Amino acid sequence: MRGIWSLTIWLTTLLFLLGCSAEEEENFPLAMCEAIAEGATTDLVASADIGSAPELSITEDHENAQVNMITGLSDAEATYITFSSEVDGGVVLFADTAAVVTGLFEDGNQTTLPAGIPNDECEADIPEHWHLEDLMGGTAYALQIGPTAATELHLLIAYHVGAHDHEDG
Amino acid sequence: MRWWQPVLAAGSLALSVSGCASGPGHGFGEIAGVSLDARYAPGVARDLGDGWALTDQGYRVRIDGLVVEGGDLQLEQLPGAGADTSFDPANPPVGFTLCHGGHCHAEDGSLWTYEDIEAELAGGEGAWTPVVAFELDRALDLLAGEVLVWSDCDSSCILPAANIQRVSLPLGALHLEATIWDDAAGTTEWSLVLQADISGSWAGTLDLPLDRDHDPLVTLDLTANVNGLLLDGLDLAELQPGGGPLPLDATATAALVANLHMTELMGSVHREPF
Repeated sequence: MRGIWSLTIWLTTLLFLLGCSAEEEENFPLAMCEAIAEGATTDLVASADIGSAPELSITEDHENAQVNMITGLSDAEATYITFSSEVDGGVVLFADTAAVVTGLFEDGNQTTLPAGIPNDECEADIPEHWHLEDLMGGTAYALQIGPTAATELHLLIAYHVGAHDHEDG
Repeated sequence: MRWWQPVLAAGSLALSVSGCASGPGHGFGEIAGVSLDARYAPGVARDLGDGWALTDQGYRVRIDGLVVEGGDLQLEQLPGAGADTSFDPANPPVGFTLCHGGHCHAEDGSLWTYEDIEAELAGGEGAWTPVVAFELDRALDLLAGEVLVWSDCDSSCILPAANIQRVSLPLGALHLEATIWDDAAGTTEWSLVLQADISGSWAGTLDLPLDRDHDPLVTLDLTANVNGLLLDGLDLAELQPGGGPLPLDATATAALVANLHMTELMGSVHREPF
């Protein structure tokens, strides 16, 4: 009888733990939607000169994502902000306005910015996101912004979760 | 009369009535109505106000006229979808690197929806087969905006079993009138009239299976917003002065056509029981 009770308790505990871990599994694109919707945590002023452009921090803790409000945009010329990955690999970039991020530079040289697409979880809040793959750790990257009629842009850049074998927006 | 006889009679009646309701005459789905809102909307990134928009090359453009010929609207499926044409996103087909969230990255940098890849695997653009069409076949004034409503289908609105995955609207000629201001050069503004054959279509993804597992009565609301990226990639200074329709060279035509084809038909599907 004690054996049956022990087995029951073990099974209940196991099921509870499995339930918890499934519940806590992160929905990365949804977490980014919620972060953008909550508003900016940091303000940056984009620069017309790549060399003096401010640097974005890449979010590691998705529960406390850093949302940057970028100002200093211009309808007459492009402006820039920079970022640098600590490790080789990919990052994901989320923007709250379409057609504002217009280019990508690697060590000062323009490279291909893949097509941006909406985040399926919140197309209105994040009309464009990009998977920037094969980045080299320690290399300086810059994002070209505009020229644009928009006066501000909310931008979030995060290390990627779970590679590409899941529905990640 | 035994106690169970009225119960049996009521049950038989109910079964025969429900049999009629889902039987011949209703098919697997029925289109109750379709609407399309098509217009030019520059969007926040390009809208300078007072009708002016910004291009990627820094020109300021006021669209004074924008008309495109539209063919019949079609809801389409892939023949035999699911068998030879399906693929595993974790193992992308040749020519693609990564697949996720309903799209794959092609080696040339372009993005393809799963549905377009399935169409390619099935034989290309021509593989899409119309399930039902809605008559249009006229010019659309995108500057004024068009709201089109269909309650009739080309043939029958009662549809057979199908898996509709795409909506498309064939396009014909484009007529564009605009006023241009080159801010960088400080030149005076000039007018521009462009005409181009933009053969191709606007398309959008739909998730509209017609089977016994989904409510059959379908209402579809579509939008097509041509945005402020329409004249991106064109060196508009080379297209002055105005005074009449200008012939576009192959590169400029390709850019204009690509920009216009980027417009996606966004669909919202509502389903109800009969």
